Amino acid sequence: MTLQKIGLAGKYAIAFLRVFGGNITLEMVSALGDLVVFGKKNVSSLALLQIAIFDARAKADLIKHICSKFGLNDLLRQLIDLLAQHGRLNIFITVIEQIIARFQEWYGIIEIACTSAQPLDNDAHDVIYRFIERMTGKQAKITFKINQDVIAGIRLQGHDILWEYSIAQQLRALTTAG
Amino acid sequence: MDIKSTDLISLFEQSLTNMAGHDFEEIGLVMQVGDLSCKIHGLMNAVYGEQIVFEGGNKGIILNLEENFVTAFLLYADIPVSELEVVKRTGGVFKIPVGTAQIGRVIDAQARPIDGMQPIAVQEMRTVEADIVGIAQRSPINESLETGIMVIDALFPIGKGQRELIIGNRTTGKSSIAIDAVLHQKGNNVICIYVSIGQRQVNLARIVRLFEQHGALDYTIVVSADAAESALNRYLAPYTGCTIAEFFKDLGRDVLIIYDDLSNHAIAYREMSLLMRRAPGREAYPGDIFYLHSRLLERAGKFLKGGSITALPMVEVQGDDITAYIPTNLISITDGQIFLDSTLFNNGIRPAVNVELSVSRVGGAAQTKAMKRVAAALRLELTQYHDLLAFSQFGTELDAISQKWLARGARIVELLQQQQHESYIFADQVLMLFLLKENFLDAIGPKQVSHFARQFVSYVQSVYKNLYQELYDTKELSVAMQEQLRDIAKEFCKIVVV
Repeated sequence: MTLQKIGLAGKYAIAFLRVFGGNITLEMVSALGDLVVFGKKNVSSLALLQIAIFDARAKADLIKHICSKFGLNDLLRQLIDLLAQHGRLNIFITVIEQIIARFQEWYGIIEIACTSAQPLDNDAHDVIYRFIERMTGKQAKITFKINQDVIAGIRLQGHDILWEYSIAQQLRALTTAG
Repeated sequence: MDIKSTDLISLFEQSLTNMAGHDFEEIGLVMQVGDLSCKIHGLMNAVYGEQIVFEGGNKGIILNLEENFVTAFLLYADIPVSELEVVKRTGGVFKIPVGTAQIGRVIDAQARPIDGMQPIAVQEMRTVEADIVGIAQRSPINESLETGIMVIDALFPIGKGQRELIIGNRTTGKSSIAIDAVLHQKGNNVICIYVSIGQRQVNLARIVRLFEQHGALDYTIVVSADAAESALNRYLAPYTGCTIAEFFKDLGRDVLIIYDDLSNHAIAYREMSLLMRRAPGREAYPGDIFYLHSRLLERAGKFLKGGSITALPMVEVQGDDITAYIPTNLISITDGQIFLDSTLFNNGIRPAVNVELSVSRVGGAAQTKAMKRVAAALRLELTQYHDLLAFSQFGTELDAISQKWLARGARIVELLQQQQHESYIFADQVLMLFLLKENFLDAIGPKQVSHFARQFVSYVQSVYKNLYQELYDTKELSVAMQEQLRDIAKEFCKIVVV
């Protein structure tokens, strides 16, 4: 995805949220997230969106059909029509990503990937939730991951923030020092 | 001892708060990499010129801020950067280490030693882009900086704090003039900084060896960004040199900085600007190409607090055309230019200074009284000679006066000729020019003029030591001294000619 596409998608997302932002519920955001996951898993199936010679109406119908499966048809119908009219259905999934990111930003939700070398129990999860909320002042939505490369400690990475206290980070600091 | 799980959890929570002692860092993700530049999504609060750190160990400098991304140039070509790599802000603009231990060393654009010797002790870190000292803190240029090259010291004197452009075609002796000026500073308490931009490594190695052989490395720092370096390093090198110069200036030292050359610097910046997709203008240079050099050269000067920075930037022209874009920019920024003419060079005249097109706008005030006395009419005489010479080439028969002028002009040209790495101190130059002014050279064959004048200097040095010393110390040529010198010259002519 090029930076230009992200920028363009961001503009559609802002416009969409200005009009429909008030109607969006957290459940809808969750469904939008599922839609993005579906879109990324089925890139080859959605490849026709990238082909300019295909009829925009056919592309729009396909997307509407997919959205109906996630219960998002009513919410997204006008956005899909607008993108079809502008010939920009190829950035549909990116626009949805941007809608989620901006919705979360507006409503003080932060998505964080917490990576550790060992699995963390629920008590540790609670501590990390509290820690992130205290540090960022936002409601945390955390995905816990295991990665042995961390060696020990944890790494909390959001869209544009990072907090890391791990052996891997200290080793990196040593190798790049001086 | 019993440890409860709740204790462990509270310990973990406490550790999370205390152990790192830092907030969340702002990050971005690399979206595109190529040509030692990369586009990064995120880093929304980054500032222009900020240094960033890649998780893989590379570092970069942000040089473009756009709506959704920033463009950074990489500092190291040998550390790979991958797509979606995390990039962190450092919160500070790019800094280099400076210190007196850099004297005698060869360093790169990031001030790291590249001469294979021990690490350099750092005294402080300074930003390469510094505020320019305002007019209230500047002092008039009134102290001469000798280059040891007679044609320059006599006709286009350079003052401490001046910016004098050296301009000319390829291989007309631009670097030689600058190198000779550096070599001449031995014992003059001037720190020299030689910034090599986009030159061949073999050339730089030769220059460093030359400095070493002449003992010039005792007071010289060489900053190198050779032709194989990235555009960013070539862009940074003059600013690095200038930052080091400012460090010594703040210590109260006089600094001579050579930028060899700013054509390559402009090319490096053009390369970067095109990669950043900035709108190309004339000769594909970006719109701020003037500011690139003006903000560099405005950092030179003589200052009320501290010492001075004298800058000798160089620029290459094509086909002796000084009206090209970068040369005209630099001519308007600097306080004068020394134009090296390829025709003169090909005719065997060294240094090949074109007297008509060269000028020193502020150096006159810095010239010593003695030099002013002996060199006042020299430029006019040389200009007339060149005009007459051009006229005589039409085969016209010239009158006796014109022939006399031609003969005198030929002697002036011969006297001002100087071999590479042969420099004259001020007193020697005054003595030689005195001979010329007082017409003692008219009876000498043009080819013997230089030899005769040098012998005269040796004669005065050895026989009339007191007079020589007085001239050296006072830098004046009083009427009485002139009288005495006339008698000495007559005496010398009898010994040598008769």
